Amino acid sequence: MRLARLLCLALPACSTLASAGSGDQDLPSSGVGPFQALSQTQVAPGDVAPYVFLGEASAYREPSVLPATSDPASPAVLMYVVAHGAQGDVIERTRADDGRSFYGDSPDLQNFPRHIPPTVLSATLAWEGYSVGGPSALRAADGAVWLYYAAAGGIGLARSGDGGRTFTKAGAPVLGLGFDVAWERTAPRAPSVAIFPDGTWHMLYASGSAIGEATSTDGVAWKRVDGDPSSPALDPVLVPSPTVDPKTLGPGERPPFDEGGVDDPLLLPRVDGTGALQVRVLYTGYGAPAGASPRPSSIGFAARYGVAGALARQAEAVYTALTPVAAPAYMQASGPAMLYAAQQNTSADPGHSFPAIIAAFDVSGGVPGPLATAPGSP
Amino acid sequence: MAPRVLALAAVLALALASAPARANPLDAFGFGSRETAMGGAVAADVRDFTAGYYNPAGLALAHGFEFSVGYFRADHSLSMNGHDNGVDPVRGLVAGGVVPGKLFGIPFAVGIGIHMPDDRLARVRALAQDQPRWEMYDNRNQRLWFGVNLAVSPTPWLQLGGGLTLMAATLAQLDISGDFDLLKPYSSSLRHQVDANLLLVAYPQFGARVEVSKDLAFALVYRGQFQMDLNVAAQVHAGAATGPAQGATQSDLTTVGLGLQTDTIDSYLPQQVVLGTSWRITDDLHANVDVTWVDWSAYIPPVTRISTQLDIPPPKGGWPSGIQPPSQPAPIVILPIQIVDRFVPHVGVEWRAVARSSWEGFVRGGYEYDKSPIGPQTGPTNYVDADRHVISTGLGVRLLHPAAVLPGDVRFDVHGQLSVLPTITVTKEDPADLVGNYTAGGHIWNFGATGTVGF
Repeated sequence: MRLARLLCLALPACSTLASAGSGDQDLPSSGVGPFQALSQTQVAPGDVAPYVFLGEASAYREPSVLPATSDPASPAVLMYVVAHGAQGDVIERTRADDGRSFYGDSPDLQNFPRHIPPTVLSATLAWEGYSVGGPSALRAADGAVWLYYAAAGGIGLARSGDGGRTFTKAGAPVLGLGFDVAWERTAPRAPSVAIFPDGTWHMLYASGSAIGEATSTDGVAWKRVDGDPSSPALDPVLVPSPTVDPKTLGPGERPPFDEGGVDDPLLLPRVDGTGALQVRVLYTGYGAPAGASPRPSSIGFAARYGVAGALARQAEAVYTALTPVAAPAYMQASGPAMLYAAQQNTSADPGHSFPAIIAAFDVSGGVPGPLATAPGSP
Repeated sequence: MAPRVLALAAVLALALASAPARANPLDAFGFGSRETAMGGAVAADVRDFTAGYYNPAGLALAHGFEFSVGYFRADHSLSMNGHDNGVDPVRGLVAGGVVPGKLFGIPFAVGIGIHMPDDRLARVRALAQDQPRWEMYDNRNQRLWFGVNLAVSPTPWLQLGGGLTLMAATLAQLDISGDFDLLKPYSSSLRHQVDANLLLVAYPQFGARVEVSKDLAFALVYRGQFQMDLNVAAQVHAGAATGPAQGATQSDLTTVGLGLQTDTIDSYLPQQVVLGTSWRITDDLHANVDVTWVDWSAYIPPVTRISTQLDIPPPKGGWPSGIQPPSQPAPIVILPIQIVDRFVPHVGVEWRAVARSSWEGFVRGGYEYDKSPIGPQTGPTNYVDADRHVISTGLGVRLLHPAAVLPGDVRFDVHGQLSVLPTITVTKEDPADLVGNYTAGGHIWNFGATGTVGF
């Protein structure tokens, strides 16, 4: 009888113990957002979230990141970033072992004033003019770091055999001015290069307010490709969204975030869960044409399946903020995919802004891991 | 014999033409070990507490008062792109009782049945329509089921029954107030208050059983539809600043007012009609076939409808340069789900393998085929589902008149059930879909036991 009473009490008791639910682990995702800005507890002490690499005089922007180690699970990154130099823009190098605490960031400088990010590339050739920018770093099959960059005369290439510390430039631009390409109204800029699974090299670049594509078999000799083979002209692969008359918008509707221009492509090919090649592209979408003020900007996502053709865009931006944000960089390690970009920083004074590097993470991949201290060397 | 064969052939034909009824834990994994082992094909062959789910009319066949208690656990191994999604197991107590009697000489019975989950009475979850989820297994089976039914047998060949099943819905209110820093959101200081209430909802079920001969019976069952609502209203009133959040200080820029109303059908159970038959082939062997029609086309997916009102006037002197103030969120367009009605066939056999004067032993088997009612997810929605083949088996022991205080019997049944969901490939029309293409599939193991004491 005592046992029966105990059972009567125990069985309902077992049914009242709550536990956290699951069912949403490892869900499929394109891995490119939407991105959520880092919180204050997810950035290095001294930084103001979501900024992770800041220096007012340097005005850091246009980041490009590479895994810093051969461990695919490691969040450690090398970052190449454009900074104001004494005689024009240069490309500097920094590093973070946790993907967020960067060598030479302003809080790191307060502790270690000698932690100055080294300049790895500056304008030294005639075709480059006075500035270099738009870095796109990748690690080749032999381990060498190839750094594509933009300058006055087009897109150049520099290579490093010491892990990306020092670079040797190719003499001439690898993709020069497109005199015979109708849509290219400016010199090509903002390159992004990736090697596809079939071994071909692909480059996306910006010109005017659109994005074009070129291919190569060796990463040195490039040939522009047509985004729309159905038309006789050479076409870009991504153009701004058609302009929408605000009077035609319904309540709560907004005009396309990228109707003023597309820029800063970031090429991210992957083989998806079904074995298909998905060419993913993050880019800067401008809400107003060049020269407009203000000129809002956000990070957009476009993609295609297969090695060639135009890109289809996602209607909503994958990262947006109160201040303009541009030039995405991307890192996928064991945790969530990380987005780096340049965002106007007004945290100290709303009336005065300068660009700095922010970080955000893909919410579908969990949350970033623990913080580490800034490394002792770049 | 010819009418029996024709009847059986008709039911089999329906079964072959058909396919799932996964609307609550009982639809998905069965109720009671004997019935689960027989593939749920028991509408015309049930007389214990599980009749409250399979066919209330069967309660009228009970010989005496009996009480049952059991337990089952269903573990999901469901994955997308080869990664297990961690769908929670469905596990919990099953119990019930039947009290028969006579009213004006007519046999009647009252039955109650309950499935009480281990972890929670009910789980509510509102997901964006583009988030991949195992629509039939992730959330809707995580809930309590409780049924009360009454049955009569006006003639020896006819039983009629009906009753109610009860579940719970949620109503909630969320209030947020405080100070909000526009440029450093994580420096904000906000307070929130949640007020939630559980409300009971009920749906009816009816059943009839006709015994055309001592070897052949038919059954017809209706289960009503129900829906569980989840409504959350939120109000935010906060001072928006660009400096440290300090309440009404000089750093205040403006005042943010945000009204948010979310309305979700957290769980929708479509109405069902079951046609079943039971054929006693020999004294020791009988076979059952049920076909369930499920009104899936009326299904309302658990997608949240959001109404938002944002009021954030510019501060005196306008916004600081470089700031893009937030604007009224665009309305969310809920895309219709592609879903169609289905017929679900169940087949079950029971063999009395041992027949002694003091005990009997049973071997059981069953099969169910659930063809997914959900259409291809080529657009932004990701209601993931796959066809399901359900193979089940079980054993039972029945002790006859085991003791003087037990003039009835004592039964103990166990079951094992394997659900196999062959892998499907979801291909998106939009290459820039944020989820992209993926594969989905897996299997589910379900084990359990039920004991019954009859008086």
